[in-house]
Amino acid sequence: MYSLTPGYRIPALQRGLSPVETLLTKVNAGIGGAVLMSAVLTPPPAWTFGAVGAAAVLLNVAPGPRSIARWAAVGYRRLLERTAPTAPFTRPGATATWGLYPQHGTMQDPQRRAAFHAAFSQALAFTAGQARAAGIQVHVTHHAITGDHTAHTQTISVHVPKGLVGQPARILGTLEAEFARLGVLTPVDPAPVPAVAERGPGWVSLEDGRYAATARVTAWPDETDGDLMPKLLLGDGNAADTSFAVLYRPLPAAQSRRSAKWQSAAAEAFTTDRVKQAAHEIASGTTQGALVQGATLVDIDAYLTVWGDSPDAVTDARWHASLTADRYRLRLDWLTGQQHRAHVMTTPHGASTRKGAIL
Amino acid sequence: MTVIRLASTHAAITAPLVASSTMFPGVRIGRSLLDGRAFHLSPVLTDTAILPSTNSLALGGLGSGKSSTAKARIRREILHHAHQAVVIDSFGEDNAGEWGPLVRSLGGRIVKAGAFTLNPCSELLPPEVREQLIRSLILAVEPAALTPQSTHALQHALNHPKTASLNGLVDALVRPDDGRWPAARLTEWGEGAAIALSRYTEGSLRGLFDGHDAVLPDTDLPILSFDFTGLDRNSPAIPSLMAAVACWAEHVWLPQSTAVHRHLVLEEAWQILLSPATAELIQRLLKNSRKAALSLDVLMHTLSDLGDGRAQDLARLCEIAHVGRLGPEEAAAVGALLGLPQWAVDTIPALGPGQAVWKVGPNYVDVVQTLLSEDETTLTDTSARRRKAQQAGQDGEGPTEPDAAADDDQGGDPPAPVERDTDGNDGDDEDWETSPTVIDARHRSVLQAAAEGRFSEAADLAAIGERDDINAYGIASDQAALWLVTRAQVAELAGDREQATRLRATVTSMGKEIEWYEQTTASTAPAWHQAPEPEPDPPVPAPGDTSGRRRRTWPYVAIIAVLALATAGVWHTAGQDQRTQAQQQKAAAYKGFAAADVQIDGVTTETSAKWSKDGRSVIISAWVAPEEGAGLVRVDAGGQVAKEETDPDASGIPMPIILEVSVPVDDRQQAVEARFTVTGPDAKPGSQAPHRTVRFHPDGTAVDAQSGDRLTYKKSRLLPE
Repeated sequence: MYSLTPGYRIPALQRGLSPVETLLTKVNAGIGGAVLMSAVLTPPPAWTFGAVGAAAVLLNVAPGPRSIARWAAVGYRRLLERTAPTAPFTRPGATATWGLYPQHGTMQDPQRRAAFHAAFSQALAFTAGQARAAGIQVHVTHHAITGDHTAHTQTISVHVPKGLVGQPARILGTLEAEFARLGVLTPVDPAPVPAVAERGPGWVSLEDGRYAATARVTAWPDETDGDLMPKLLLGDGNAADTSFAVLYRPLPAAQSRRSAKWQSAAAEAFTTDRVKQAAHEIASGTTQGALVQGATLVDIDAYLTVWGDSPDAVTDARWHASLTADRYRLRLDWLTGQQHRAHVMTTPHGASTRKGAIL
Repeated sequence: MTVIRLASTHAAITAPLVASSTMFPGVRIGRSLLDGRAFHLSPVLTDTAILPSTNSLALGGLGSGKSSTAKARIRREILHHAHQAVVIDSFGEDNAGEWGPLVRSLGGRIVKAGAFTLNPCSELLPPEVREQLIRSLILAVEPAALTPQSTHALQHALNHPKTASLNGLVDALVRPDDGRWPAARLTEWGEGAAIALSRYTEGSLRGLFDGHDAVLPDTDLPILSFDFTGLDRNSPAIPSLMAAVACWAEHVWLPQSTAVHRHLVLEEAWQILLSPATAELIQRLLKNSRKAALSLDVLMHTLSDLGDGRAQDLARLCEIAHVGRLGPEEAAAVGALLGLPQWAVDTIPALGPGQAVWKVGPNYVDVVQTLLSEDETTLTDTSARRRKAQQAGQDGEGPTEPDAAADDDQGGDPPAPVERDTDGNDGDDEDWETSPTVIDARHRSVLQAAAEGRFSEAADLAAIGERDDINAYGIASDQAALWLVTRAQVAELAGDREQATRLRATVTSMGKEIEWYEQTTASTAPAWHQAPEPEPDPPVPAPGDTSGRRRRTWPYVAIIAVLALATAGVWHTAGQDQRTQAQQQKAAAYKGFAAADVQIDGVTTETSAKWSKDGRSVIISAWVAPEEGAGLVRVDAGGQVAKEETDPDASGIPMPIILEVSVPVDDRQQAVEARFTVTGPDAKPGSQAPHRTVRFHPDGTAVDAQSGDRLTYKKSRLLPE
């Protein structure tokens, strides 16, 4: 099971400090330093100590489970989450989106499916090799509208962040040719994301009358025959419209080697369970083999959105999606408090999001 | 790790790129079972690069839905694209073609074989068509009759002015006029042809082609059905009629019709393709189809009936194939012939009704569920009678019966499956027909086989059915019992009364009351084989079912009782434990020796008590060093006394005073008291000698008995070595 540790979310640690936060830290350090220095030069009047003490009390006194400062922080965060800023989805850079459909029967024929996956893996490795540093992102979406028939919309998007390379258009062109080998590739212009009209418990309703509930895939099954996606997305259990998207962040060769090295070293050092150790060994051996064969490491981040035309329908669809996910050994995190923007991740607009934009 | 980081080879399988966008233009067929997309196909609208030919081949067992699919396709092509269709309909119930309702709904015409006569020598037909047609007719009955000579004789006779009908032609053949060759030789040459044609004028095929005038069907009808169902399966008339139809189609219909595209549908085509004469005609039509804006739609059960060579030709010429459910071996053969991928071949035996593996062009393979509208469902319903029987009967039995029939077909007995439907009027069948709702289709087929004398086949079928039902319902189920009853009936038919009696006895001993003979004669009885009441459903407790609740209480009572007992037990053992623990502590503390240094009258006396090994006695000792200068030392313990007095004036080596007293004890854990009396060097004689009483405990402690102080000792010479 490849998993994110559930319930272990420390955003600030995970994504580092934002520029604003860095600035605030520095300003804080500067002001604090200055105050301390001046206190050394000229001792402050006695009431200053009283004021500092009062401030400390204010910060530490806790009506309910949180201190007043934390109440304020949480309140601010809630306020922030009411809005759905477009900034995470419109990061500067070059983005291109295509519709991509493999040849008919590819997913059904084990050999052709394996060949397709090998080609996709090569495309990811090739993408990673386009720039010195990591940053190019490949976003693949699948949207199924069920009914009498099922209509499938599949897109693949590439985002090259601003400043990563000199000529992003060249990379987009190169990758277009690479993806064209996978199937029928046609440029598409993704429709704008409808605005959120209403938020409910576990769902949002959009302007166009649809209701969405989005989950992040936090664990993937260990072993599959490669037919996980066809079974999951083409299985007859999907009564509701479903969107599924995976964001690939391939690492350049050198970085993926370093990462693999540290990963295996950490696994060896910090694992005391012998069986787990052996499992790690096998996994890192496999990874090593893949890297030797020219593969690269990829950070994957997958999201699932179920759609409905009423709150009840979407709640029901969400329940069924949970059951299906259990059956296929996927773990879903229904992104409490993030629903108002999480659904964007299953549209091509999610291509440019930075790591940790949706947690 | 807060990201999922995988090697790209492993990450690639998470790509949600699962569906293709390949689409064909044209009418909707149904829904793809591979990805749920709509499947459309009009071969004639498809790009020639993908589909060079537009002929299609439909395969599938009975009930696989191949003819429903074909009918729906033709109907939609006619309605949406104004195509035309001619159907050779040789399969149906009640002596009526199964295409009848569809043809009537589309305003077409049904031409019933045997109900019309055709004049192959009619002036309506162009001369070359006439000759071609008559040659086909001769070939259909006497393939060897056409030699170059007889062909010439025929040609000569056709030019005779009397030749306005088939009778006239035979006359002209038998009594020819002189031509390039003398009449005598022409007579000789024409003999074979005349004999062959006499089958149509005087023989068994009279009434089909010996009319005097020909009324040809219109060529602008949307659909025209030639209904061959009135004829016997193996009738020699079929090749002849096919020859006539093929000739008409090729020379009249195709040139004259104005539709953009035409379809010739051959239902149950194997009987047409098996006859060499008609097979050649069909093959020619197939090869010319593209030029003639014609699609041949061939429907048949399986290709294995045709033999290798012809089946391969057919498969090559039909670029579109849809294969409904077939047995695994047949599926493998068909897959090899059509070049289907293994996964598609694997799905064929498991397809449901209306589902088929479609192959379009060289590469496209799909599994499609045909979708029918309400109208189409009623128009294409070919097995109304069976469905009625099944509905009244039991659910889920449908698929097995066509399979059994399919196996029949395989076994070189092609007419078998249809006999049951078309000529089910013989005496034996009558019984089954009168109460069709009562008898499960499988039981019926078993009994029918037995009634027809095929006992081994009946036994095999019964064994298969019994095994299935035992697997599905269990060995003691009604279904299993029913099979025993059926087997008994078979045994009776086979004349083995003993076996029948034994089987019935088994049923009775199973506690089943069902009796075959009673139930079949009393047709008013409720359908007993409906018994498959889906087996013991898990009993659903009704809301407010108190008996269930009462049953639920005793486990709680039991649990509480057990818990109480367990607690009491634990309590008890805890007390015991404490006691034994104390004992154990005592026992562990037992040293069997205690010592103390006591100061009496300024003299340091080392005292000790040593318990014997058997715990029966204690030796109390006192030891006083010589330099202490003690006058009197006395030990009193347990009524025993030991005493020593030193003489202060005695010379010699000063010796220490050692006294020992042995005191009996009952219990080795018991403490022992001893009184030690010692006088110092300055003691006045006669005065009361000072004493101390010491209590020795076996755990090594010694206590002053008066004050209760614990006494210590530094080192004892009295310590056991």
